[in-house]
Amino acid sequence: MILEVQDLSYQFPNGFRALNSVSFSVEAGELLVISGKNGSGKTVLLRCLKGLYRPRQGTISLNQESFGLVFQDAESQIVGQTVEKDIAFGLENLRLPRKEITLRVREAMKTLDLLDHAHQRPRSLSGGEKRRLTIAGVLVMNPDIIALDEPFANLDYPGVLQVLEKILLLKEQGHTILLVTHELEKVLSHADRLMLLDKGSIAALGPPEAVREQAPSCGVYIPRGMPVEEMSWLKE
Amino acid sequence: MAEGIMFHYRQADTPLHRTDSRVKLLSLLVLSISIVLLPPKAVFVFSLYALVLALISGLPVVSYLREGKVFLILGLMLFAGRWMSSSLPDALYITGRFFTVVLFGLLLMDSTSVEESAAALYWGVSYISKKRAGILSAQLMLTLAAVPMIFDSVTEIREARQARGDVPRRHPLRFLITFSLQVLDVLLEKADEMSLALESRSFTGTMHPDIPSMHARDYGSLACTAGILIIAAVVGQ
Repeated sequence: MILEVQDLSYQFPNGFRALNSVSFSVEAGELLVISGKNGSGKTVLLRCLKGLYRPRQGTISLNQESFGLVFQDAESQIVGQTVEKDIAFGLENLRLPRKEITLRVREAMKTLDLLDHAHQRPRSLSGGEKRRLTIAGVLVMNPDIIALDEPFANLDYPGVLQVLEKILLLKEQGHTILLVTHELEKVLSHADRLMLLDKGSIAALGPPEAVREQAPSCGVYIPRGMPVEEMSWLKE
Repeated sequence: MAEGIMFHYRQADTPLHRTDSRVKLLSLLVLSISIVLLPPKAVFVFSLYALVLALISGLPVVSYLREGKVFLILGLMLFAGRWMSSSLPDALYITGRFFTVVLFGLLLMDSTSVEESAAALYWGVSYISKKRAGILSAQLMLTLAAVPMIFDSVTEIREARQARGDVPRRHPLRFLITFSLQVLDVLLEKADEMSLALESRSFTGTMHPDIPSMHARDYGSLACTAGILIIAAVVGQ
């Protein structure tokens, strides 16, 4: 078990309860898709796992250093002047030796197909490339678990394909992936399990085939009659 | 959306880009102070030097002229004001000095990345306090990194309001207040998001950039700056 969450609850200062006694566990190498309508607690859950939000109650068994979080808004995550420098940002904060930083940044750029953009300004990248850059910035920290918050949001078709390909590559490499999305038709066939959140609680959790029927009642669109194995944009 | 390049770092392989950021920062300070202190004739030397540097570094002058209209207007106002209150040579001197200092600033920003500027600042302040140097350089880096985000937000909000028929001239005060509040609201939200993203990447509000060792070319650049100062002083007399 790489991650275990017990009875996790989070409440915003204004009293809104974003998470209600959430309990689940994740196996190493698993791809868990987390879905739910807006305000169901998906983003809050990831931020609690990363330690950015302090939960009101509950326990999280996880080494937070080994948990990488890719935010939904790529722009707010990019701080470097060039692609290479942005990826190195996290490692520089850890004050690692320059040689190691260079090596790891190169490796991350290779994995995310960013080598050709190494000296490019992040702001001049396309949406898909920016998203890949934010993934590289997290991957370079060598996390065991990579959590992605709405990685397909605001991306065009090629952008979604680029990002999806890389997510699956990371899974192949042995990373555990937590993927928050409400666009199930793009990725569900690759998921090991699907978690549906509703009003801060887990409404369903299990293999996609077993849970899909409950998606509409949780406010999540799922193509009617489409087999789960066809729910991937990579297969088109 | 077209992206501005003025006061942005431009990746290039020119002698100026390769020069150590500490040398560039120090040279900018020394030249900018000297241009004010030395006699008017010396401005010609500094202007010529700035133009040569612009040529060497391949500064995108046309784009800068297009984007930097505000500096042209300021320069013209300066020239006109000085001409009316003093004399034509004096107006030419003051305006030339203004444009030269702006050009030096553009050259520094164009050829030095945010990280390099932060490292140069860290190097300078660390002689006084290492802790403060770390905090200051991190603040500089974040500020410079956030500037494009602010401009983008302002442009986006302005365009969105225009698209909904908002005419600033109709109620200028109301426009100013609501526009400012909207920008502030968006920026605070983005800043909150950014701070969480930074935290998740192990950022602690301080940085300790590597200070690269100086090369022969950097000492050459320093000597060049000193040479220009001497020539300017001689010409100025």
